[in-house]
This record gives sequence, structure tokens and C-alpha cells, in this order.
Amino acid sequence: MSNYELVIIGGGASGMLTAIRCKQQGINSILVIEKDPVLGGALVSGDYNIFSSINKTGKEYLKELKVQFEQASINTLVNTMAISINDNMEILCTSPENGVQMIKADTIVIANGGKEKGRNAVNMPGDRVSGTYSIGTAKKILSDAKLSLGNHIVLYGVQHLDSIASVMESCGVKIDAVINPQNKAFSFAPAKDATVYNGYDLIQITGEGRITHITVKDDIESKTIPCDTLLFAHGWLADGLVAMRSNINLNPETTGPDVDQHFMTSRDHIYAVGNGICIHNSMDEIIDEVDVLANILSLNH
Amino acid sequence: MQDIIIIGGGVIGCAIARELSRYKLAITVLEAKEDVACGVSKANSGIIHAGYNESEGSLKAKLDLLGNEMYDTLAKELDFTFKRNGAMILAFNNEEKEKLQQLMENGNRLGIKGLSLLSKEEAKKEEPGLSDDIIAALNVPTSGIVNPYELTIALAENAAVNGTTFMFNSKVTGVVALDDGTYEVCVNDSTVLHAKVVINAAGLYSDKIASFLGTPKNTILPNKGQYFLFNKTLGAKITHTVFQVPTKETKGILVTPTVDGNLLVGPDSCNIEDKEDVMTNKHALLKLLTTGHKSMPGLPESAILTSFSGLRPKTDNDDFIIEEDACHKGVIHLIGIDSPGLTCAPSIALYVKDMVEESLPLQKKESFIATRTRMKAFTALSSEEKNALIKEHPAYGKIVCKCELISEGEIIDAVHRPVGATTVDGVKRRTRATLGGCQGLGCLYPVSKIIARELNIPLELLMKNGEGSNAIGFKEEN
Repeated sequence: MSNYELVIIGGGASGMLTAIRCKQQGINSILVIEKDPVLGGALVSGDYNIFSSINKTGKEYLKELKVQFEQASINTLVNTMAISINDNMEILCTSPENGVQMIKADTIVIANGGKEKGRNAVNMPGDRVSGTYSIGTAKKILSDAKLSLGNHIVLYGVQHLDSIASVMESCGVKIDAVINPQNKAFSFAPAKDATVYNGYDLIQITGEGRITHITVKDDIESKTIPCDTLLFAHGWLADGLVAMRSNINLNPETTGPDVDQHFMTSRDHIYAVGNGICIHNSMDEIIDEVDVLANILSLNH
Repeated sequence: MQDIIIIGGGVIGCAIARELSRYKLAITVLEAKEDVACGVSKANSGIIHAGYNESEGSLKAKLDLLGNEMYDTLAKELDFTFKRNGAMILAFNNEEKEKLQQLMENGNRLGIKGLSLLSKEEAKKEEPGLSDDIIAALNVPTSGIVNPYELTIALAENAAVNGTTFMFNSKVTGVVALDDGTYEVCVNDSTVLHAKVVINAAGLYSDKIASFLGTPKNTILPNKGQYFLFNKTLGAKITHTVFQVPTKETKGILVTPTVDGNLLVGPDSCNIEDKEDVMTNKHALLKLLTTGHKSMPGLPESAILTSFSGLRPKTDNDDFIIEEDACHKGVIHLIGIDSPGLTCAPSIALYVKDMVEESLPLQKKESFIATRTRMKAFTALSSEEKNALIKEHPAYGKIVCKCELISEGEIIDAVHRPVGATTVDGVKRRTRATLGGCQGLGCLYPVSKIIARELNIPLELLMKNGEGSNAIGFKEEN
């Protein structure tokens, strides 16, 4: 069984940066485990500004990170899914190339990022139709499959739309209507001609096979909106699956692992960082967090 | 010429096909939808009922007792999950306690084994999550649970391996009696098939099929039942299927673990007109949640994965109608197969086999294979088994559905098995991919890409379920 001083689960921005900083601080034996065939996580398709202090897209930032990562010569296992951490600090992993393996670590950092928030089962009854997608899936349909989404698109929620804005614009996608439950201001070019339902909530999805219309409601009235595609833009949640399978306490608010002021989870020697704990507003916040964590880990080292 | 045409690929049609595939017969199953288990069989409680509340002398009582007993062997042969988890019926007042006594006496008369009345303390010792408001419970040890579509798929796969032909997207639009005593079955208003025996197992549409031959039969009066499915954290808090005292419409709202480890609450009951209306309704669901809380307090809304509804193919007759057509020998109608139809599927199949024997000589087939092996569920294997499998098929090492840990290898298998999946929902029912915590939000796209590749069709032609339900995008015209 391979044995490392530090294993980082997740090779996105937080994971790569944690590896680079820890190496700089003198931790030599480091492994990064990444589920996708390439490093970068959400940065790979990030064609929008992810900083608050400067203007830099995820893709641009990934280029810089890759250079530093290669210079630091850090061990990586790509195309490998970390499933859980057992009581002996062994990480169960699976990959098409290496099969199932256990990797032992003195210290583990969970940096597995976030995932999109789903539809609330109670507040979203109706028919079980096709044509309802998350923003992430919609982006893949447009940019990877190079297919169109539909002719009458309704957006439900207005969070994290920057990730899909440029793809939608280049594909000429137009949004018919926006259901904006939070009633907060937003600007989104593909929706500039859309009817906006501020303060309305979605109460029913209807269709046979494909979605044909939705019903929305505010305090006063309910309305029916015809559509063939419904996009969920509800923002992100921390992905707590690995932590959950590893008997680490989760925070129900963030759905990520609960951490103390040293970023340690409810299990000794297991830490978490980045969007895997909770969704951060910008890359700047994550960089600050990684710096603190790297200091803590190198002092313990 | 087919010996037998079975109309309907639900659990009843598939159980009959599997039973008859033991014999030297040419059998075709015609299914209007794109897969087996797409109607009544897909969305129900999944309970293998003990049968304590059936009327003495009814077909339901007889077939339930026999069907329930057949499940242990059937589950071994066809390698599907069956748990005899036992049931409890709760009484909250003296009137209901009296009703439990009557149910027990009725059950004893029917020959149901092991029924006993439990005090509140005894019941809560067995099932600590039960409400403090109960005063007694009827203990029903022979009650069990299955996944109804897993069962139907298992029956269909085994029938197919034994030579049964399955035709999907094949809606029967006419049945005509010929002078020589055989029948023409018209499919999609175009293709005509020819058979000696026609078995009408068309569920919600069995009345329509019967009407093609002109013999008046009972009308199907669809009745909707809605459910809530909770996540596995909740599923771990209960072992028995817990009913409230039955009403005329339902066997009582139940709270049950599923064989997959989730928790299910439902069904309510509502008469409807449209046989395709499976929409869920927020008002009814919230009422259901309150009823569920009555049996088992502490079912948090945040733990709900999804809601769904299923239809009961009821008639004005309380019992199953399983009869040869009065004017057409060799045509067997199965009408009003509502609950406990799932329990009775194997016993109904035997019952229908005996009826078929009156029209056709049945000769056993030596080549009949009684067993079927389930799909390899990657997570259920040991590390050694996983490694051996990945070495042979590297796709088993690629996890696609992160919530349920379903590998690419399983999705490929679901497509290429006998009676394989052709849609996203077909893969979902065979593998559980897209059925986890995120309900497909994360994996719909990668799962769809794999299915389209394996079916060798363009992604835009892949359906979620039926025609027009394009799962992923459209090709731009022009």
C-alpha cells in the first residue's frame, strides 16, 4: 500500500493550491487524487472572472496554477475516485487503470469542491418529465454536445449565472422567462428580453415526456408559463459525500464537513478546505484559507 | 404464428411470460411503452402482502397466500432482493384495536401464519421509532418487500433468455377473432401478429383491450396514490412495514423501508379520469406527510428525495377478474389487478398457465433455465472481486453516479443485457444511476452520453422515457 505524509482529495483550485503551498512549506511526500482525467476541477471550464481583487478567469488562473504545480513536482493520481476514508487513515480509491486501491496518509485534506443545489422535492411536485437541467448540465449540452437546449427556456433562480453566460451568448440562447424567488436584482444578457417573475416561486412542473409548462405563484396569484426547458440556477452546496462516507460530522447548512478554526474536521488528522467546506464568494477567499491551512499543516509536520 | 401473445409488459405480463417460457411455446410480449414495468408496476409500495385483509373465498385471498409463499424461491431463482421484513398495523384508539382483532381473525381463517396482537410496549420494542400514541399493533411476520421494477425486469430477463420475444413501443390497436379460432393482434395500427392464445395483461388499459373483442367487461377506474421517498439515513431507522388501519380505498398509509435502503411514505387515494395522470400535488403530499408523522414522528422534510405517484387499475368489483373471454376461447383477460397484484404475480402466472392448458397442450422444455443472475452492483463486491472485474472491464473502475457510486461498467451492462435499457429511466431502474441524493443533477449528462454511445444513437435522440422526452438537447435545424 502506498503511504504519504499528506493526501489531498480533489485536484481543483483548492486541492492544487494546498499541495503547492504545503510543498513550499517543506512537506515532501504529497499525493493529489482527482476524479477527472485532468487537474483543475471547476477551473477547467471557468471562462469568467473568479476573483474579487483582480480580473482573472478560472481558465487563466488554472494555467498559472499548473506551472507552479509542475514545478513543485507533486504526485498525482487522476481519473481516480476517492470514495471514503477508513478508521486507519486509508483512503479507498477506484480507477479504471489501477482498480481498487487503498492509500494510507498521515494527514488528509478534503478539497472536493462543491456541487449544484437540486430541486426541493416538497416544493417541486408535478410530472417527472425531461427538459429540466442544472446550469452545469445545460452548459455541457451547449459546449460539449453542441446541441440546443430548447426553444422556450425558463430560468428558475438567478445564482451563479456567470458560469454559463458566455457560452449562452455565443450560442445565441434566449431566455423566455425568469422566476426569481429571492426578488433580488440580477443582470444576465441572455435574459435581457425575458419576462421576470420577481418574488414568485415554482409550484408545479407539467408535461408528458418533455416539460410543456410550469406553474408559478406569488402571494397573490398563480400563473402558467409554457416552456420546453427549465434551468435550475440555485447556486452551489459543498459536496459532503466523501466526508459522509468517512463518518465525519457534516454541517447541515453547508452540507460540507464541520471544521474548527484550524480547518480540522470531526476526525483527527483530517482537514477540509475550499468549496468542499462551504461555497466561497471568490478565489481570493480560498487563497487566504489555503495559506492558513498550509501553515497549520507545516507546523504539525 | 405465435402460440401466445401477452399484451402488457408489467409485472403480471412478465410473470406469465416467465411461467409459460417453461414450455415449448412461441411467446411474444407486446408493450405499449419503451420498457417493461412502465405503468402500474413501476410506482407502487413494493409490498409482498400477507393478505390478512382479503375477503374469505376471494381470488385475491387465495392468490395472495400462494403468491406470498412463492417469493422465497422466486427471489433465489431470479436473484432479486426480497426481504421478509414483517409488517405492523397500528391502532391509535379502541375502535381501531377492535379492527386489528377482526383483521387477525380474518387472517387466521385465511391460513396466514404468525399473526399476533402486540401491546404498545411490545411494538415499540420491535420498532422504536413508532409513535407514542399507539395503543396496540398487529404483528404480521410474513409480509415482505421487493423493488417492483427490479422484480419485473428479473422476470422479463429470464423469460427472454428462455425464448420469449419482447416488442416495445408496440401499442395494441385491435384484436380480431379469425374463423379458425385464432386471433389477429394489430400493433400501432400497422403491424399484424397472429396467435392462438391472447392474454390481456394490459393493466390500466385492460378494459380497452377487452373491448376490441366486443365482450362487455368491467371498466377500469384509475385511482391515484402518491408517495414520498426519503433518503437512506431515514431508511435505516425502520425495519418493518408499518400500516395504519386499512380503509376501503387503501390498505392504510404505510411507512416502510425499501429494499434499496430508503424510506417510503404513502399512498393516499384519489379517483381520477386520465390513465396517464401521474402528477404529484403539493397539497396532497403535505397531507400525506402529516399522516406519515402519525405513525412515525420525526420524518424531516429535508430528508425527502422525491415524490411520485402510481395508479391503481381498480374496477367496481373488489376482486381480481381473471377469466377467459365469454365468447372467445383462448382469450384470457386480467382486469382490475390492483393491490395485492404484485404479491400475486407469481401465483396469477400459475393460475393463467392452468387456463392456457385448456386451449393449448403444454410440453415442458428441457432447455428451460430457471435462474437469472442480477447485474453486478459494483459497490456490493469485495475488493478482490472489484479488481478482477476492473481488470477485465476497466469501465467498472470509472464511477459515474457519485451519490450511488454507480460505475460506467454497470451502465454499459444495463444497455446490453437481455431486455436491455434503451432510455435514461431504463438505466436508472436497472442501476440506480441518477436516483441518489442529487437526483441526477450531476450525472445526467455523463450517464446519457454513455447510454447513447452504447446504443449507437446520436445524443439528441436519447429519450428520458417515452417518445418526445428527449433527455439531452436538440439538434439545431438548418
